[in-house]
Amino acid sequence: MAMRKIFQQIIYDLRTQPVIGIVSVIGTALAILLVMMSTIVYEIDYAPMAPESNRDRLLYDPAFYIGNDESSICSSLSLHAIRKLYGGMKTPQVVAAVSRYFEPVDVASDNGKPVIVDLRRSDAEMWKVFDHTFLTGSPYTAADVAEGADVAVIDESTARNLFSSTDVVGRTVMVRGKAHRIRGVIRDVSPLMRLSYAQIWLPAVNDAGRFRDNRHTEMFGGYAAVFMGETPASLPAIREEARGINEDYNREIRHTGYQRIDCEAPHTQLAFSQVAGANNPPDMTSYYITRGLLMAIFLLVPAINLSSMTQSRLRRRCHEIGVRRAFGATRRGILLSILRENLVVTLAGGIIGLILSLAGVWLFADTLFEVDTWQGVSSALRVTGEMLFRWSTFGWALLFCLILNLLSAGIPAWRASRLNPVEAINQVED
Amino acid sequence: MKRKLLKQISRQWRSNVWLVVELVIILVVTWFMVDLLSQVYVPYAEPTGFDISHCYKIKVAMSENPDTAVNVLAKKRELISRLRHYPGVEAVAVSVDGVEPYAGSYSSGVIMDVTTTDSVTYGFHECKSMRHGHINPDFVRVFRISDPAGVSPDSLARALESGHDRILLTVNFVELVDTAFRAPEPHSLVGHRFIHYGSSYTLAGVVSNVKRKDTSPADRYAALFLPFNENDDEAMRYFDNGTDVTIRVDPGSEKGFMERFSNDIRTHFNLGSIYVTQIIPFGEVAEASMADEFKAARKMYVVIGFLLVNVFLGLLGTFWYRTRQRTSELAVRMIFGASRISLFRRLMGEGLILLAVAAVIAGSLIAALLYLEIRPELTFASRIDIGWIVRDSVITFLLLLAMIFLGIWFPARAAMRVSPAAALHDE
Repeated sequence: MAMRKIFQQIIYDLRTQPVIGIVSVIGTALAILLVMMSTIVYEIDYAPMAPESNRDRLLYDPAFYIGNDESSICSSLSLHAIRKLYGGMKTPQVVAAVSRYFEPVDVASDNGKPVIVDLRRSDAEMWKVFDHTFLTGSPYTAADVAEGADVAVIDESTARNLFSSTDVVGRTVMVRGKAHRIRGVIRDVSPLMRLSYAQIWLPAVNDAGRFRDNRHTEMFGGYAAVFMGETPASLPAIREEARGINEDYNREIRHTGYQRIDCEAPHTQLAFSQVAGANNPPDMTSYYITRGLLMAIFLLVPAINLSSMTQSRLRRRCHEIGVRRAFGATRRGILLSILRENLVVTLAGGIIGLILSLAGVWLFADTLFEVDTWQGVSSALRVTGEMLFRWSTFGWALLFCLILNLLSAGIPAWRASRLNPVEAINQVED
Repeated sequence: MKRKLLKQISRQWRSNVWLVVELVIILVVTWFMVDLLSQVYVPYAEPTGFDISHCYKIKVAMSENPDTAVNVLAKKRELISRLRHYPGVEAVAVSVDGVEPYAGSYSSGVIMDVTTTDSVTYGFHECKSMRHGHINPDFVRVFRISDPAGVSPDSLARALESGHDRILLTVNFVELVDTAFRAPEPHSLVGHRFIHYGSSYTLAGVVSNVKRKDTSPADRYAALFLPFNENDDEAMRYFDNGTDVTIRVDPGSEKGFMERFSNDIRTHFNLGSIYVTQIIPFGEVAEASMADEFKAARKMYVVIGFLLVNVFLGLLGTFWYRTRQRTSELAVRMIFGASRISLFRRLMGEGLILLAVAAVIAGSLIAALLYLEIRPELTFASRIDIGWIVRDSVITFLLLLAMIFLGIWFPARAAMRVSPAAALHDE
């Protein structure tokens, strides 16, 4: 059927049954609104987006959990642990050490008022794993980290806050009362970026020995190890090598009675987003069940409604369908033409829903997202354009529209196509 | 009338089946959403066991610049003393290990009653969520922790001050272990000596349950307060970046206190190697700590709202079509003397029967899920009981009822507005 005819039919339906038409569009828009809002929220955890553009080729080992028969203890890894375990790895392109959690710290210009910002430490490799945008200056180097230099990289808003300018390379920032030379200024990062967010970056220091009463205290600290492969395809080999290293480590410490407990690390980006605490493997089953159930409810419930709307729209057209069948239209042809007509309504609702969902995520970011922290976050929770909309977002929306269309028009269209032409023309109803 | 109604429903069985299926799904999902909301708001209504009004959190930081241990120790004590003597400050609470209200960590351990040699292992898995941590006596004064028997915070604090080994337990901790400790009544344990991680303590009091935060169920959180002694050099080592310091301000001098204090942060409260970075009203600490629960609650409101709007739209669409189809029937009824109200009642009756059928199916599904212990939980939910189930069910049913009323009201009103003569004329 020509496009024009489809639109004529829709306009005719809208005119004769305005309430049902409007309810159909609202129902579709509502379904797409919620299903897209949750998809956007879920995707922020794992889709590649700056400065974590390499997410699809990253693996994470965020925690060290060790125990014997009586007790166990867990924490993030120390810098020493990351170097000891993963320092000599062959398969990854880069292995970086990054503070597992950011921490609020007071910073000040030479003689200014202190402000509280979120601090992270890292080795120099971190700057290769994450692609922060430098407005001025450059990252700190491996040499800085090795000699424990008092240098810092700060973000744009901290620079403006302290110095009213971003042109501050070489100036001094006081961090907990100690002078640090500013090496560079980076663009602000959203606190939703799990390991690449910080308002001030300092070179990693060895923080081993968090617990005084454990034999392997040198392994406990505040860092996560991040592995980057050349391509996403190199991740399985890296994972295998890292797990082999941990088996060797457990053989090495067997005589102490302790063993590192397997939490399925190193994790992919998606799995890492589901890691809670330091002593649990990510619960992917409940992740998929929750996400699946949510999508099912958001699509299925409106689909039932829409299906009965479509049914009542079609009932008025029994006569027409009967005539078309009598003049040689195939069942398949009737089925497809109804689905096609309905798709236009679905897409109209879908576009409204998609636009509303983008606005909704942007407006209600504070409610929709949780920042991975123990202490509260110092900067505003913002979502960037890239976090909101990528072409994949559009792809998802289209996919959900097609599913919704099939769900809501499938059964009525199928039934309409099986109508007996004679009865249909006589307007016999069920 | 009833029989006619049923006949009418069976006549349109196909679209009714869809409505019932939809209602069943919505009833089940809404029930669990209401249950999740109850998990936030029911504990929220229970007493917390502490009072944070007129309290301010003081953030303390240690300078990264090196200093001698003796100096640092002296400055730590000086800072506490300056806080204590600052005009308007009533008391200064110092605690480590995150036992302050809204701070969060859980602990496990073994505690033994020396007198009876009864011991109990507590922790996350064995019983309820346990917290132990060190507090100074002023902690009790700042957070107004009291005894259910009516002992005031001040006398509890004095009991703690009477020795360096005094500890407090919450009532639910004692109740939890009373079989192990064989105590007829929690307070009978006061004065007993206990061994905890190799140190010996005296139980100075049993206090009302102290929740972790307003949204925690009281029955699932218990606390053991160990002493923090400011005069002990070893203990003061733990007075560090992570130490919780909170002051209670005399309500009379609270006006302008924040500004006054903030202005003095960089001078009076900066001792070089240790200094104050921030003063935060404790209400903000509470809000931040419960932000995630309330975010979750708001998401549930959205899902419930979505489902209810769908019920409304579904009924609106279906009944709109039905009343249109039955215009002439309704008109005939009106001519033969049916009032508008009785016609509306007739249409509502259809909706109510559909809801009743859906409620029976949904109820059995919910019962089956609960029986299989499939129940989404927010962190630590209260144990579910009959009262809880009835409340969730009543709320869910009323919500759906309201939507059904609205969804039928609009088409029914439109149908009844039609003048009988015009409707029949169309025919």
